[in-house]
Amino acid sequence: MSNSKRRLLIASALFAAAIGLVLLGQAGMLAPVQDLAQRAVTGVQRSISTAFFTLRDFLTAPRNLQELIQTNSQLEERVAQLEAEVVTLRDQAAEVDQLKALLGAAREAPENRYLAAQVIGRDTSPFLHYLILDQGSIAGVRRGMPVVNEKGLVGRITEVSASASKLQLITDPDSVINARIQESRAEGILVGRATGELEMIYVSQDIKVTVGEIVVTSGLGGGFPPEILIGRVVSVHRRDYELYQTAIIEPRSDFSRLEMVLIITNFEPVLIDPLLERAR
Amino acid sequence: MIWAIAVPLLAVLSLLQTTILRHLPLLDGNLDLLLLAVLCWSLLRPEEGMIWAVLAGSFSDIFTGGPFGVTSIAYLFAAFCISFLHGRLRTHNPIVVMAIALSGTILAHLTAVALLVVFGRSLEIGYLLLYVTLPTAFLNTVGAVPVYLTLRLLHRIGVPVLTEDTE
Repeated sequence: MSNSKRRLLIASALFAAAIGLVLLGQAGMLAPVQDLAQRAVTGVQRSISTAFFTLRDFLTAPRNLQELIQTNSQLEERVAQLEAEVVTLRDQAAEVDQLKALLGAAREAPENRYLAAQVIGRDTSPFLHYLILDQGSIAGVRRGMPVVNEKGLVGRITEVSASASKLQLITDPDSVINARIQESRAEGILVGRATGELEMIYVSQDIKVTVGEIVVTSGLGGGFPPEILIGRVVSVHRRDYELYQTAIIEPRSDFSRLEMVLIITNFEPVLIDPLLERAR
Repeated sequence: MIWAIAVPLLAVLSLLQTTILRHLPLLDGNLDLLLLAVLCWSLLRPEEGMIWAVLAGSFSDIFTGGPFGVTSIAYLFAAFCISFLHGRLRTHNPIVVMAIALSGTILAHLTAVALLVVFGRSLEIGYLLLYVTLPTAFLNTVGAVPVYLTLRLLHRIGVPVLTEDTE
């Protein structure tokens, strides 16, 4: 058999195998394998992420260069030791600050029960906006649970394994949230955009929406609790000949630097998909 | 031999991809070490490169919220196209390696985007190609030569007899 024929044969077999993987994945039959793999790597993932965050904080932390220049050469070794300690402490202090801020946010809504989770990975696909958290079904995490931080809504849990879970950010192009503009009470649907902004669609033309207004979850649809902060309006697109106006929303959270989040564990999302299917 | 190298290497690269490289973006793109490993191994051993593609894609798909298998197909398509160049190009030429990384990245991304659209994901294709694919292709082009040289070294250690034939 010639080389190119053999190559074509191997490629065909591999394409068939890959399509098989897709079908098995869609049928949910790969979930146990994914669960096992995710469980195996969660610890390593957490260690690498923590080390990376520490290094990033160290490299990006502001330093007094003048002070460093004036340091006596005899004390350099001691300074290096102290600096290492300072980095560790600063990292711990930053973590405490984050937890304090999260605790503050949690106290604002005492009716919710929260579970703190560390971000241990990002989606390997650059086209999707998901994060991997270090808490899974063992800790009580379930699919559909909303996730917040001290600034507001972050997203929702879409997949859960024993020791980790996948969080769909509100900026993911597939994310859909029922939202309300707080001052004008206009309601609409927030969808994620690849740019990292959110687009609020289906906003009634009768209501005047102004830039700077705060956007919160409306609680409609049962996917999220009401009144969770999302962001603010940065622009409004209104044309007289259209049925609805749209608004661009800037999320309050910086999703590129998320390290800790809170999962709302006592919120039961209402799954309306079966109702929709029945209606069809 | 392929498993002894491929499985641990690709597992480590997928961990690095999700924990570190995705935090170091250029616009919205990132250096994709998994894809680079697949493309470079495809230059060295085209048939194994395709197996690497399915493996690398599967490792990558553990850490994605997208449908399982999409990355495997995207990587496999790129490796498959590149396998036809085997023996026709001087693969130890850095320009060739960089050109392969550039075109392979674009091919893999176009395939992934097409598959995600088929699966009903609403994507802003223009934005993604401009802000994700092009920066990733640039970073992969820059990173291609060191990755290729490292893998060629591994290849020589692992398959010393066939090394001269494959270049």
